[in-house]
Amino acid sequence: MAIDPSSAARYAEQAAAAIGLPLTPARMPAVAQQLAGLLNAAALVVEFPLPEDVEPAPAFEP
Amino acid sequence: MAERGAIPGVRALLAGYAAERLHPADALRAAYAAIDARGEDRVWIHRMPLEAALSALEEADGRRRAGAALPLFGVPFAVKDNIDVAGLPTTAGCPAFAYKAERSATVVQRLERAGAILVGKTNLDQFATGLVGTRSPYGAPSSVYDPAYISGGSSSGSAVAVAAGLVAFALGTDTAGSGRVPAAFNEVVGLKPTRGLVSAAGVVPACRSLDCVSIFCHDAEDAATVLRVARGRDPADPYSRPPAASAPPLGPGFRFGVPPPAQREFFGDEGAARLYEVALERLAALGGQAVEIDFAPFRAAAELLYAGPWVAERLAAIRPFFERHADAMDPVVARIIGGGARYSAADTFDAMYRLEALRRATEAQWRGMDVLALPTTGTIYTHARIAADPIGLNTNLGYYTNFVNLLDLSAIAVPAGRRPNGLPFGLSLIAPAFHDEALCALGSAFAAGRLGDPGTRAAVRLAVVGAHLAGQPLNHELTGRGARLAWSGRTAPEYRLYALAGTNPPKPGLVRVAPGEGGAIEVEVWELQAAEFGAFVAAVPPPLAIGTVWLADGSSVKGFLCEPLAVEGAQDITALGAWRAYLASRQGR
Amino acid sequence: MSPDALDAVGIAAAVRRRSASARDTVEAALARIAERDKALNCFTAVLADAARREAAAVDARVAAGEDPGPLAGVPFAVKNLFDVQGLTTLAGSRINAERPPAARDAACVAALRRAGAVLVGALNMDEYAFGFTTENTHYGPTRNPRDPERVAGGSSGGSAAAVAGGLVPLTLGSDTNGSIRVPAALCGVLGLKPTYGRVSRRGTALFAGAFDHVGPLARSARDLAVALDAMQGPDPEDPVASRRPAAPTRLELDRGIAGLRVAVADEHFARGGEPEVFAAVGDVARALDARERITIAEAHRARAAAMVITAAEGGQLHLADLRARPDAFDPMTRDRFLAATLMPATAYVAAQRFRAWYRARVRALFERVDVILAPTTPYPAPPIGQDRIQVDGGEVLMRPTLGLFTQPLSFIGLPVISVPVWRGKLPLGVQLIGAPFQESVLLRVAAHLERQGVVASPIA
Repeated sequence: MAIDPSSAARYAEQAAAAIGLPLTPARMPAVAQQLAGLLNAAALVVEFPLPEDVEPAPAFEP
Repeated sequence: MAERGAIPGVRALLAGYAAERLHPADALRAAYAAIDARGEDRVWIHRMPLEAALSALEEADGRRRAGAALPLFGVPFAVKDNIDVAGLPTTAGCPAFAYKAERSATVVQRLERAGAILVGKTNLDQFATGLVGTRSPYGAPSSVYDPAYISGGSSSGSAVAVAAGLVAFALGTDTAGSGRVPAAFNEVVGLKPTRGLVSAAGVVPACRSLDCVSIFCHDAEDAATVLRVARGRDPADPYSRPPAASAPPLGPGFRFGVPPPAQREFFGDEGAARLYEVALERLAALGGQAVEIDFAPFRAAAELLYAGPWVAERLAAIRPFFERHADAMDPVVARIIGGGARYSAADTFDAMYRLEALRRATEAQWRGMDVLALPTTGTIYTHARIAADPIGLNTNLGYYTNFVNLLDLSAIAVPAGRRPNGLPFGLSLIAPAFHDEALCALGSAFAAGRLGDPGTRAAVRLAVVGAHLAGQPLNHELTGRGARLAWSGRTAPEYRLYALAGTNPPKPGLVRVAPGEGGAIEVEVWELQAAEFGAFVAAVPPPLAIGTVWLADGSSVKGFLCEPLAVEGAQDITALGAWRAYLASRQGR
Repeated sequence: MSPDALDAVGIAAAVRRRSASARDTVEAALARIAERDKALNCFTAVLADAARREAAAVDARVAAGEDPGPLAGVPFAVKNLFDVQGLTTLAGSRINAERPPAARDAACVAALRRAGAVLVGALNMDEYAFGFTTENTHYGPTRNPRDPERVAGGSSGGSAAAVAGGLVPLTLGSDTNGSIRVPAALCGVLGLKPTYGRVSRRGTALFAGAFDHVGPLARSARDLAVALDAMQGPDPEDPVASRRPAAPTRLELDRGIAGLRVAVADEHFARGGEPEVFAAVGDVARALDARERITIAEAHRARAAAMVITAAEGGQLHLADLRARPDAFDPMTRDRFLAATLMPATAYVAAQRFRAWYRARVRALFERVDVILAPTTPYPAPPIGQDRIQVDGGEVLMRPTLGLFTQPLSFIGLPVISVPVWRGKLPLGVQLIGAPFQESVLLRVAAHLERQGVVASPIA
């Protein structure tokens, strides 16, 4: 795994504070475990080189 | 062949469905289109809306999916309008008599349960009294071969509906010949089963002690296919009879009885007389042996039907209605049925004694023959001639048919060529009671020009009990070879069924045991072409084998059996009675 | 045959032609629910009185000669994330139980009712649809009717189990990452996830709006078709509803499969599962004479991107409650929701951009084929409460892995039917994957497989 639970825990602590999410120490290991999985998925996506002209396809009509 | 509509025979339709060449919903739409295209042909008294027929198909499909075996799934049919269909009026050809049926006749229920789809109710001679098809306020249908000629009756609309290709089969009724005469005039097969074999519960009686529900089809094998579904003991019909073992098919050397020329009557129709001779030659060419018989006692019995107290039975059938509404009836029919009032109870006993005596006399004739081969009618008439002499000519049409029910015989009318004027001629094959299937087989042989032989028959019937059942994983091995479901029911109670270990897809093994030591196992009988049968057998994996399987009705077919060695240690599932029940029991509950 | 053994179209036909009444049919369904649901735990609400009233109204329409609709008298039930007028929409949560009853039916519920179907209740699910097993702590796990010790799949587990157990012939579910297809596969029923935007989500509790789909579960292809036809079409009240006019499928069903090009998905879709699931795909391929294999490239990355978007959207949706009262969440979802709120925006945007790229690649595949086959799940229904599972010689987390083969497809909104195939005691699901808006093609294939006897969904 590129991102392990302990590095995920460090990120979670800061990021949770930034959005006002209460993460108790008791809860942290399990959340970090989940977050590590998500961040590894995210890495797989972020690392993929995409042409600059590829845009998302959201449905939004002003 | 005259121009035909959209709908072929029963087996042809089922084969088309099985091979996915044709979808039942499309066949129904085609039937309705063909009905519309014929316009006002006076065939129908009531038609189901197409939407209702499609709903019936969807419901049947639902039952099929739920595991029911439907041997007539998606086959459009019609019934004569003296047969009840729930929710529809039954007119018996007399609007003043009409009533809305609460429930369908037993035979209609049986056919619908088997997946057949009712298209409508057909025209008839009022109260099934007549052999002409002209005695109806709903108009007189014509022979599909010539609009100047009558359709025959009384099951006029049913015969025309089949002949015109509007439905795959139709029900009529037959007391004096109403299931045979219109078959002859429209070149279709008319099977008049043994009295009581098909329930008459829910049928407006004509002569209740003699009435039979009859079957119109394109060929005799179709008639047998429909009969296997239609027949069955019915507690609701006091005249229903327990099924007797059906007689085996006739083999080479069968004796067919023929009246001597002096006793034949063609009413001046030379073409018919010649066609009868040709038909007798064709029977001889099948390996049959012509036997001259004395037709006199049969004729004498026939005379009793309209010149005796059985006319009073027609009155008994509708007496309360007749007493109040005779003026609302067809005048000819009213005259005939009204004539029943002149017979006394003593006359009735006299006639019964006379009939028993004639029955003895005919029994002597039966000792010398296996089947009686007669013209279905001596001739055919135009509408104009019937209008001029409605009763006299009607009587002529019953010359060869009127005695059959009085003498408790089974009969089938089959096409036997065309007269020089293009109108069809019919041959009637008549045998004692419970010879229905044998007559169907002989009718098929007559059409094919050769006798069916179990060894060389074109189609092989194969009993399956497991993975080849409809809806099961290997069923496509049958349907893919054009096989069709011919029958479903149970084996003789002499088998044990085992769930074989380590088979994929899971398969059962069927093993025959001594009577009393086994059960009756759910079975489907599929019919496939002999050539395909060979390829099919070649692919049967061990420990399975193809052998003879005995069915609950005492007949036997080829079918899957299992080497007894392979069932040692296998789970015995005989108590469940069916492979599907075993599968259901394994799925979670 | 009891009417509750019939499929929905069979029931409607029987009701329309009066060989069964809607009242008797609904009563039989209520009786079956009363008899079996204690053990299966599919329902979170049973609307017996309302159902009886609606059934009587259907019978009255039939008696009056009015058209009672193509689903006349068909008892149905819906995942409890769909609004049902008068009922609080739980979405599997305890938190939402505090909310007032819905003022109005969801569009899909209203559509089925208009078609004559009779709503008999609401069905269990994973909390906020975030799961593949319906092991809901608040309302209890839904049990698989094929084996009550095993999960029903999720998140529409109640929807699949209610159909498999014969409680009702037709249900609605929602599918964001596989939530219709996974339970359909594990319970041995058919489940249709239509094209994204084909069926209105108005009145449906969202999970991840980018992939939320509404679809039917049933025991026959024709039931899926009739339900889809009743529900599909534009809806100005759903911002992602397609403006394409409805494309009725029911009459297409019997056209057979002549001319259809079918291929089996390889690589991602041919590994990571038990051998029997690939054998089930092979059974279907043989029945369709499909010999081609086709590669959906980057499917594993599509699954990762689907997880990123689901986390970002789903986590954000519930952020307020996660801040205020995390303890009110189901322990089965709580940690995952908490983690999900922390997904970086850069990953979310990358995943959205990747989605557009991947869509273009997969669209190109449908120039060559009409239908792609893949397994629905990597293994049949696992036991309830099991965390890890042996697959193909290795050990993986049981619950997330259930979406291995479904997530890369809902990610780009492709229509998919999961059909049940039997090779042993437990059913296996095979996905029939089509080009966007080609539901009718998939339904034709499913109907063909039914006729071949390869696909079947008997009542458990």
